[in-house]
Amino acid sequence: MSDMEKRVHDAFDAVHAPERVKASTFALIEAKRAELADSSGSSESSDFAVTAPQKHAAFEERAVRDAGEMERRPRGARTRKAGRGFRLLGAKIAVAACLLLAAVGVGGFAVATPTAYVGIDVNPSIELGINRFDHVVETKAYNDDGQAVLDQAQVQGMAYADALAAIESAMAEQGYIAQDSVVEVSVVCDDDSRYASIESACLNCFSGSGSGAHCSRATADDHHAASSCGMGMGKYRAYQALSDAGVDITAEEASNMTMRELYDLGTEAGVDIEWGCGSGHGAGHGAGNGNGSPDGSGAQASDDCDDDGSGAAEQGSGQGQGSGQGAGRGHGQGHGSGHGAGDAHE
Amino acid sequence: MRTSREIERIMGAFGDAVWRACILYLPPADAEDVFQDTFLKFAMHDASFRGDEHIKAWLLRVAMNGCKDVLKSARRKNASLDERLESCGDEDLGVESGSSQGVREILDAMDSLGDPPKTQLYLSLYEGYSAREISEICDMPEGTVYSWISRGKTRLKEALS
Repeated sequence: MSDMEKRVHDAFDAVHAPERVKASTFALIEAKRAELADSSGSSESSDFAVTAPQKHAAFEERAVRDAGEMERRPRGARTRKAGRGFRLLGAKIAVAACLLLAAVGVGGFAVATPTAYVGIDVNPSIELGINRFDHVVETKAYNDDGQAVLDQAQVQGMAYADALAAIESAMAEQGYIAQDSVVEVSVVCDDDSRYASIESACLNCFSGSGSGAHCSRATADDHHAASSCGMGMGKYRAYQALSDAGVDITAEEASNMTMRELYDLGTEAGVDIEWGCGSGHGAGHGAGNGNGSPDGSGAQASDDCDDDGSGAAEQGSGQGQGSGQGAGRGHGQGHGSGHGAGDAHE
Repeated sequence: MRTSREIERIMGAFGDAVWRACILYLPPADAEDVFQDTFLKFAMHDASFRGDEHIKAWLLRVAMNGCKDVLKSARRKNASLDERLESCGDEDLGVESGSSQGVREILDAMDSLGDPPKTQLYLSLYEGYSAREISEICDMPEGTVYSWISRGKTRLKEALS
């Protein structure tokens, strides 16, 4: 880049549309929308297109006519006076639209714009955009499994805590949460206290899932980079950690692996890919021996999976004593649930 | 009419580009009018686009044509952009603090080139469009665009030296 080109770039890079101009433009457009909605005789949401076909047709007809008038405006017609008049009219409309803005425009911005993102990776990789009112306003699936979960959970518009519960339920129903599954939750959020609330909700929701949830805070850059790679943030960060540690893995391979497989790969390679805090259940196996009292119909061996390793004979009664071992994953609390096999003896 | 959400997204993505194109031709008060006109037209324009880059090119084309319409009014023909820029503050221009002098020098130099080649040079130098893309935006043969860009660079170098 020549010196001249650099000067041009530096100069224009320093120029940005003033917020006041953007706000007044948005107000003007919303006022126009309200005007068109009024003229069509019914209210129109600022966030969603017109739904009634006949209304839409009338609306479009007028929009096209207005746009056409603007295009056909004669050269020289925009005199200074006309420009001032337009601005005056614009100012009046802007003032008149203040209330509308408060109710619709600003509300529209606030309602429609995500201010935090929650990424959930198990094998399904999904992402929720949460607005400042803690409702889900965007959903995104990074793989087919994620789309299947979103299709079932239908979380658009839900409060995020409810949305997380619906997602956990859908994942469980669709069999994505096995006993050793890892649920990786990544949260992008500027506000510390809000992050803490989201993290708490995530851990509460997923702590009983698989081997538990890991929740961590990601940056907007992580979010952007992961999205660019078409990966959920959890998988992307695991991939980065593995890749940085010299593990031979491509983004595509990582994207196709479950979080459990990525964790296992990390363990094999001696790479710690766990972040943040977690809450989990350990998976343990216990073996127990029980003594039973037969009812005279013969002996029956039982093979149960009780937490305390007790075995219950189907015929006859048996009590087993076993020991369960569990190891919690993550940096949180773990508790073990033992699988005990109890043998009943006559 | 497009949804508020889409307008907000597009204004966020390309508002700066449209504003830069506007102040390339007009002082802030008039640039604001054209900026509003441009996004109002976008809001009313229900035809589909081939993607965000197509939207950006469409917005720039509408904005630049709007600016040229304003410039063609008799009252504005007698005043240079430089004279009109003198009366506006940095905040009106949307210039970051500390960059005012550099921006005004570049705007003044670009304005001194005349148009063409100002539009073609700006789209090439700053927005990075190819000659073919500029020919579509400006409705001008590609060879002519090449020629104007070449001449514009030479003249701008002289104007800035």
